[in-house]
Amino acid sequence: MQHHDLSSKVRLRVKAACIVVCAAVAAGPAQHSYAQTQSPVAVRAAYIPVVTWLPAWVAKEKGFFKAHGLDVTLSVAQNLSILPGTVGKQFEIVPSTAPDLLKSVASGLDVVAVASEVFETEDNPSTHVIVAKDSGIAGPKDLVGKLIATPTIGGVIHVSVLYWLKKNGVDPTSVRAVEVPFPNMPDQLKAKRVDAVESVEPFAGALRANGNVSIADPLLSVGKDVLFPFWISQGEWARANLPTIEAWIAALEDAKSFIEKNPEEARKIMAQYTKLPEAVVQATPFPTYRFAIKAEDIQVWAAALKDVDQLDKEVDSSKLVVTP
Amino acid sequence: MAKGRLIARINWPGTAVLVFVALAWEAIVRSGLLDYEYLPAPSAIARGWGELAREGLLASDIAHTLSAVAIGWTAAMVLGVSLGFLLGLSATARRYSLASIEILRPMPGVAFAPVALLLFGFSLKTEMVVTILPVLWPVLVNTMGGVTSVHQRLHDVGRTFRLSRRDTILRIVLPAAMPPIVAGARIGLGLALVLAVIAEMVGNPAGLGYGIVREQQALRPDLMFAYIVTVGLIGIALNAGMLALAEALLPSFRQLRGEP
Repeated sequence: MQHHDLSSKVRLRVKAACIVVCAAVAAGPAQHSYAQTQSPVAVRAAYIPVVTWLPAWVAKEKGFFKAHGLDVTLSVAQNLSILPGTVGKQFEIVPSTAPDLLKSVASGLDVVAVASEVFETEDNPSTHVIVAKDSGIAGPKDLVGKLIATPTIGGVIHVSVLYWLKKNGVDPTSVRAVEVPFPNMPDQLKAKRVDAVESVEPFAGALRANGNVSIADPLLSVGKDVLFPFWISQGEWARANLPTIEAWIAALEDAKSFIEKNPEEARKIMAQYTKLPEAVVQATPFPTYRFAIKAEDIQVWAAALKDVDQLDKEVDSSKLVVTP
Repeated sequence: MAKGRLIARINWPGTAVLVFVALAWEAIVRSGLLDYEYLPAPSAIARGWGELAREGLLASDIAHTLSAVAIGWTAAMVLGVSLGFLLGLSATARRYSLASIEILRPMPGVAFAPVALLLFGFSLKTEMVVTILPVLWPVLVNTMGGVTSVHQRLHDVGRTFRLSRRDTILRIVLPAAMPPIVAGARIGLGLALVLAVIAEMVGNPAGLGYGIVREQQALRPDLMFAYIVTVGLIGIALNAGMLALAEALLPSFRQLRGEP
């Protein structure tokens, strides 16, 4: 009897071991999803210290990444344009924009969009072309021959301004642009060194509070509900790690719910990551967070970039989104 | 005695100009003659400096930038002095290398930041790529110049004493070439600090350079200027340290500077 019990136990253990080995072989050496190993999947991600990336900070601080089986390391970066080259090396997931993604792919990098972050919508605009109240500039046609301050020439906001100008019958080359960091734009506008600035919240809100006026949200000329910043990764990594991307999006969705239910606590986390003064943190509106992304969201940007001669190669937008 | 020498070395007229500029700046900002969000008064910058120091941010940022400067400058010194000696002693090496050096020398180190970021990501290595190359050239060119300008008579002295090639270099060429080498080292040290800060602003998010960017983005111009002032003060301290080191290693250096 005892002998029978022992041999049954041994058989059971052998079967269990076989199942484990078979599962490990089936998973392959590169697959380490939470479901297969039950240990957190390490994800290295970058962020820019602006409110756009609040869901990731909330997901990290409130344990949503952990709850979805991710061990996420968040590293700060200075600007978006340098990030596409870092995926697959230093980071798995980084923030980006459609112009940066499209230009990176056009120059041969294997990068894809894996999740959205913010959409620009008519009922919650975050980006503005702002002029001084006494400037005499009321619309795109008044900007001909003027100097406009942009955070990045070739960046998503300036591309949208060029598209907005063209759509309104203004030759984009008739408006000169100069790069100025967002925080320095109010002084440049006040000193009349520039005639208009391309600004985002919370800087745009502060500019308007000081008597300047917004003449347009340039992003909305690209689409009424248009993709703004989003998350990208290396194409090869994304295709091999769909469960990880699914967990990433699920954690961000949880963070979004948390922000909606606990805005005050979310603002504390925002202050911790941005180091903005309390008054600015309180005055900063939350953008429209949405994490699902489609190829069409990228396609509208590809068309806009081509229209203003910012993309000279054909890029197949349908292959630029890898998401569960 | 040492305290007296230190006081005697302070450039009092120059310091007075600095104090006058700071007072004028304070008066202009306080009176509202210049009313810009990103131009705080010196008193606000001083308070910001205190705030950073209390939080401990300043100490860790200074430590990072100084370590980057130390590594970058040391690497450039080792390379620059070695290659400078090689080129100074060998006419053939000079003939084959000077054209390449003249092409490479004007290249801005910061232009290599995107390539370095691709290769090394946000790291100290990226800072090194941006820092070492531009610092290398003044050290190399000064060393080469120092070695080639050693007077023929000094070489004759070596031959008279039947010194070996190694002894001639160590006992005659090296001491004679020291002043231009030290000059190159001083130029390189200042340059290393500037480039490390730039690399931190555009590449590696750490240290004083990233502190400037971080506080600018955080709408704290007082803290941003506090970081900029800190970079200036570190530059003065590094130069003073370099001079003290040169005087300690090279007794004739003080005479060369016209001091008793």
